[in-house]
Amino acid sequence: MSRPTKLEFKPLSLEETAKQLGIPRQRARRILSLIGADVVPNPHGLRAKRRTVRYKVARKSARIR
Amino acid sequence: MPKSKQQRVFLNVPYDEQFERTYLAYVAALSAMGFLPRATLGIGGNRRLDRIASLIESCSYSIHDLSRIQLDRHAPRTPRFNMPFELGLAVAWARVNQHHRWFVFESVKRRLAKSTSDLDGTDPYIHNGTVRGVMREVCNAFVSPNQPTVPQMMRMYRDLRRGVPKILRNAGTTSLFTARVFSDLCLAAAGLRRKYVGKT
Repeated sequence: MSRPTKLEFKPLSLEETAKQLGIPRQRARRILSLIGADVVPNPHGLRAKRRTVRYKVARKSARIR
Repeated sequence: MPKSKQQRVFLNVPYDEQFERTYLAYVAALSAMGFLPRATLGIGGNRRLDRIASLIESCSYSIHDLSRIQLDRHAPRTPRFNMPFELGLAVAWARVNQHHRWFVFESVKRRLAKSTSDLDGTDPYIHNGTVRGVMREVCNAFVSPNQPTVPQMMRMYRDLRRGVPKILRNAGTTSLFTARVFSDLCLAAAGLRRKYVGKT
């Protein structure tokens, strides 16, 4: 075997990954927050995703500033 | 073939401390490609073999890392037979099911011919025992039009590695080789894929 395999599938989404791993939504959020993966790419760089701990902290620190 | 099965890769690697970096590299690289890594972690009991076989059957691809073939330090000194054994199971399954594809990874060139001469004619993917080597070879094994780049994969790996202590603390363990930590790592890597590779 060991020859290049052309992939013919849609990459697994994050939500589908959590579902297949049997990880509940709350725990999934916590893990993503721990690892710093609760951000989304946008034209201005990486932005904290809404409704995440990272987002709330970012908003709060912006208010303080 | 069910869609979910197409995205699963059976990861056959040694579970020991010296292999941690390579293990994380596989998780990061496969997640970067959009795969869901599956491993035998957490499988125990009398029917372990049956469950391993069903796990292989539930995946479209399998990666078998035969780079750790040396004897262990503790008496009685024994080589690790689990990886070649599971490779045998995957090869047998691929003969029955044409959709299953298996890949052999090694760290040293031409060693496979010596250790497992039955696989003569099979080109192993040589990763040189490095993280970057694993990324490179995973990209070589799976050809996709929208492949992530190795630097993107490396960024994912670094973030994942940085997050390991937190994941371990969260799971209340010190070992990376437990079922819970493995699933947390896979999810974290999928999240990092969205962060660095995008599209999902």
